[in-house]
Amino acid sequence: MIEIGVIKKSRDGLGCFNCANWLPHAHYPFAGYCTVWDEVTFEDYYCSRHARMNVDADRFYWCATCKVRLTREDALTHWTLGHRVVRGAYVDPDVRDEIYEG
Amino acid sequence: MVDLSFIIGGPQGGGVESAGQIALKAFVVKGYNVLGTREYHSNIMGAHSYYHVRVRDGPARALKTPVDLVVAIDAESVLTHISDVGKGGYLVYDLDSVDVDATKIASMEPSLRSRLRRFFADMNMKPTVGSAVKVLEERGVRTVGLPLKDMLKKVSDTLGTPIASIAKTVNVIGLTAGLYTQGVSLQHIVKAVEAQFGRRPKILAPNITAARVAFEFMEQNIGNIPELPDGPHRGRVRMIASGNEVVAMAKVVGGLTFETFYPITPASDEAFYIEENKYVELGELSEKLELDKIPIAVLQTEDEIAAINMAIGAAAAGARAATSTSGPGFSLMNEAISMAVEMEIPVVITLWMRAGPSTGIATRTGQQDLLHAIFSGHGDTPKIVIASGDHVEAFYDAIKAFNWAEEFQTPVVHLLDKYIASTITVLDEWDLDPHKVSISRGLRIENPPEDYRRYEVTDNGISPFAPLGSAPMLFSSLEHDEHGFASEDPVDREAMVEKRLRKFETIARSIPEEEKIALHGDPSARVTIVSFGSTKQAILSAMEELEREGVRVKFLQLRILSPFPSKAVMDAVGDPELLISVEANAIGQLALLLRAYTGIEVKHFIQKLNARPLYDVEVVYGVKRILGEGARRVVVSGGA
Amino acid sequence: MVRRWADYKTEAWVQWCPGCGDFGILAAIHRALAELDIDPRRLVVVGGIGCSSRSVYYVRGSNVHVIHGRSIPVASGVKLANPELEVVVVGGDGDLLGIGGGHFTALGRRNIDLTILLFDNSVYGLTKGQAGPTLPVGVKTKALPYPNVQDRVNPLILAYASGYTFIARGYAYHVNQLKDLIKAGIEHRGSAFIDILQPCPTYNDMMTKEWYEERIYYLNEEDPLWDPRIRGPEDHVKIPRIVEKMLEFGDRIPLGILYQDLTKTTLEDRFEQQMPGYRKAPPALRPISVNGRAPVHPFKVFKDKLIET
Repeated sequence: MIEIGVIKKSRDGLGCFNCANWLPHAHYPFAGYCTVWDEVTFEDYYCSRHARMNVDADRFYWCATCKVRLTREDALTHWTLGHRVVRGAYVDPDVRDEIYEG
Repeated sequence: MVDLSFIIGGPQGGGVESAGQIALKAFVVKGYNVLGTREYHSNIMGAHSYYHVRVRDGPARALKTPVDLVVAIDAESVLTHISDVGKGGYLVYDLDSVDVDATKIASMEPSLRSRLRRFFADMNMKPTVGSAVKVLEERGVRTVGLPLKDMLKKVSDTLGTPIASIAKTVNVIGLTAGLYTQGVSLQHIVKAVEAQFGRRPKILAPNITAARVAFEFMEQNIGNIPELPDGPHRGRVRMIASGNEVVAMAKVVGGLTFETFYPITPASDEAFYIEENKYVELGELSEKLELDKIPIAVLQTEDEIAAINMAIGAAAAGARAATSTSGPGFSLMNEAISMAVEMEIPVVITLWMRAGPSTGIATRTGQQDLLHAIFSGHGDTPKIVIASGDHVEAFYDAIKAFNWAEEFQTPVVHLLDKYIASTITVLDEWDLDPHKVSISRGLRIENPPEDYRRYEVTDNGISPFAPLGSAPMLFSSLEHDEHGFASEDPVDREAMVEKRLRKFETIARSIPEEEKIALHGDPSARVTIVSFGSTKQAILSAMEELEREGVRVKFLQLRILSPFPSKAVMDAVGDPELLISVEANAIGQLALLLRAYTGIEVKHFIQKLNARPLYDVEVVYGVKRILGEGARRVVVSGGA
Repeated sequence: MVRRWADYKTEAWVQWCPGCGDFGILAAIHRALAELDIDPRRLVVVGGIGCSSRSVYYVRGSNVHVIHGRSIPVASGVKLANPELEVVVVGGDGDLLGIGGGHFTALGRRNIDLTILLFDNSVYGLTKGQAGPTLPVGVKTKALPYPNVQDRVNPLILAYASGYTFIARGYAYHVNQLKDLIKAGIEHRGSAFIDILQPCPTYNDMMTKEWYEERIYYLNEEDPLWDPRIRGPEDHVKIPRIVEKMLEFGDRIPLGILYQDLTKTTLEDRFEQQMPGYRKAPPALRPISVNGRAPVHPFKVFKDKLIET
């Protein structure tokens, strides 16, 4: 298979936003981190390694709509409601700079 | 005259802290005074937080609303601050957020969601960001929608390398757009970004690009805005620091050798900064000790009980010792504070008040621990309580607290609050001159005689202090004789009670009157505002405005709350009928003290109870309502 | 001049009940200090509240009598402020393991060079004999209206789990053997814990002198090869046997040194390592000012907060 890299627009309704390899940013979910290409991409990017996101495995998920971590059972409910359920959220490596004692 | 206010809002962890600091730096570099405070939830990530900033060419004393600019790059920030931006002001928001409905924002407080739903329902509107933008535009607010995603893409494309921190870069885009509306040049923004990230090239590069992209966007879409002139404070080195940090600095240069703490908001940042600087070069002391760096013992303990008891042990051994905490931790320290009074131990407790009772709101401010500080500890336990009104006072007070603790062998509570803790201000070299206060340790003897009497009865109540380990001796928390041996003898008992009382009288006599109270404004004014602590600068700022409107007011700021400066207060209060107590507590704790110690009954109150800092406009409003309508109690409610 | 044990007595009247085990412990402390020839000026005995904590008045030293349960943090503060001092904590099981239990465990994590002497009689003597934290469940002393509903904590296991590097058990009436244990504890570098079994003739009529003396035995007498010292990882094989002995409390109760780890650093060492000069200029003794003034302006120190305008 020939790798063609990240294309900067979605294709046929597929994009990072519904890719299982993509973690939307915890606070700004239009951008995120691609675990395949190891770089920051945007929700409407696309690449040949796109893997359609679904809730099948028994693991934790992240609902970008509700900003909450979900068990598989809860993830299915959120998925059915049309929420943006993904594998996880991306947190900047330097996030500690931005957090207050609380 | 330049007097700008703005708010930068966003999710906790979402980059607001960097944006706030960059904003402060941009204006300081430009030659202005700044004041910025952090308001945030007790949360690690995701809940709404914001920076509230004021910029002035004169002293930037206090926060105010409405502000001239709200930078709200997430939907929650737009909706949360809908009432905070005034006519002619700017709202900078994310264009893609217009359809977000307040009722669907999970992180928003449910009560705020309901208030917004009702607010928009009354106007037959959906509670969305789009509606908020429309309402604000109708009010005369200028709104700037940023295509945030596209702008971030552009930064990414321009760079050609991955963006190291999405949150920081998004915030620099939003902030730059906001600063553009206030006439700050790209050059100053870039300088501030460099000052913030200069030592971290991977973060610096995308953020400079972000500033450029945002600035270009604004030039193309908003058009020209006249550049803000340079402020008067240029061409020198200044310091930008929080209250927590300033107190830590004072302790380090003021002779602290032993600090304990248990993590608690909003005190931990002070201990953290001390820990960061526990091993630094201290000028001439380093030469004297022939040590490049001077060690300070800093220890995180298992609880606040251990924190204070360990500090007491260290102080008995001769260390200049302190601990810092907040209300809940101070509650745990009470028994040991009583012990420190009985054992006559010099120890400083830095008490950062936050909103109680109980855990209350851990990350918000208040003045509810005044009586608790003064009357802490069982038994008759007089102690010194000093309250700082701002960063500069806090610096000197922290050193004075040590001096008094050691001179009088007593616990000293240094009273501060969350507002000062997390408020960042700009300071000049002369603001923090440690030579303005000496360092004195009182009557200490290094080589005491074999029959040293730890509790020698003296006329002034102060017994010479010899540290543990210098002679056989007894520090005792039981009532004792002069040697420290436990004694229940009625004559010994009375002698020791009287000795401690005389010592307290000595304290009252020894502290100069001008350090007990500060009287601001025209002493002949009939209206007197009385207050303590961090309300100071809001009141001073309000007085400027009241003066302009022809209302003459003086302000009696209590600096020493224990021993209570009764005479100074009685001399300073003008017409007791026109006495207004400004307090951030519900029961009027300062007024209770006035009543108890001077017999003066305070009849008017301005109170802030919502756990947010006091704004100057609120003081103006309160004073006018009291003078105009004779209102007894005005509760002011600013802040989101 | 060599000090005699009587040199460590004070003029205070020792106000314990006739037959109290504390007398034996006090005698052992006096003798241990004399044999180690510790200068009373450099000795700091710290006690909390309870009959035993009163020992601070009965041992000549530079002593501190503090509130209930807080002797360990106060003693820790003294030691960390002036690591040259010899600091000994005295207290009962109520003071050290009940109200002060949190501090007891925290000290193990720190391994500060302190010696903790637990006067372990399983009752609160001063307040008329309530159950102490080392009183077994089901025991009804004559002071208790009903049998004890809470079980005993095992002080040795607690100390081991907390990280103490010297753990021993002695018996109040065996003054000579106890003296040797106290000496070993004081000489140990790190947190040393000695559980001293001690009858309370006034309130504990179950765990009496006779009850103890039927059960106690010395580990090194039973097994002359008993060596609980950990000198390196190769000695970790000894741990199961050590723990087994710590758990033994019933028909037989072992006495002696149960555990000594010679490999761990003290908190003072860790401070010195992080901040060379800590021992040379300790918090209690170093100067803090120059000619009565702060030695330096904050602008010279906290440069991370400076900005040029």
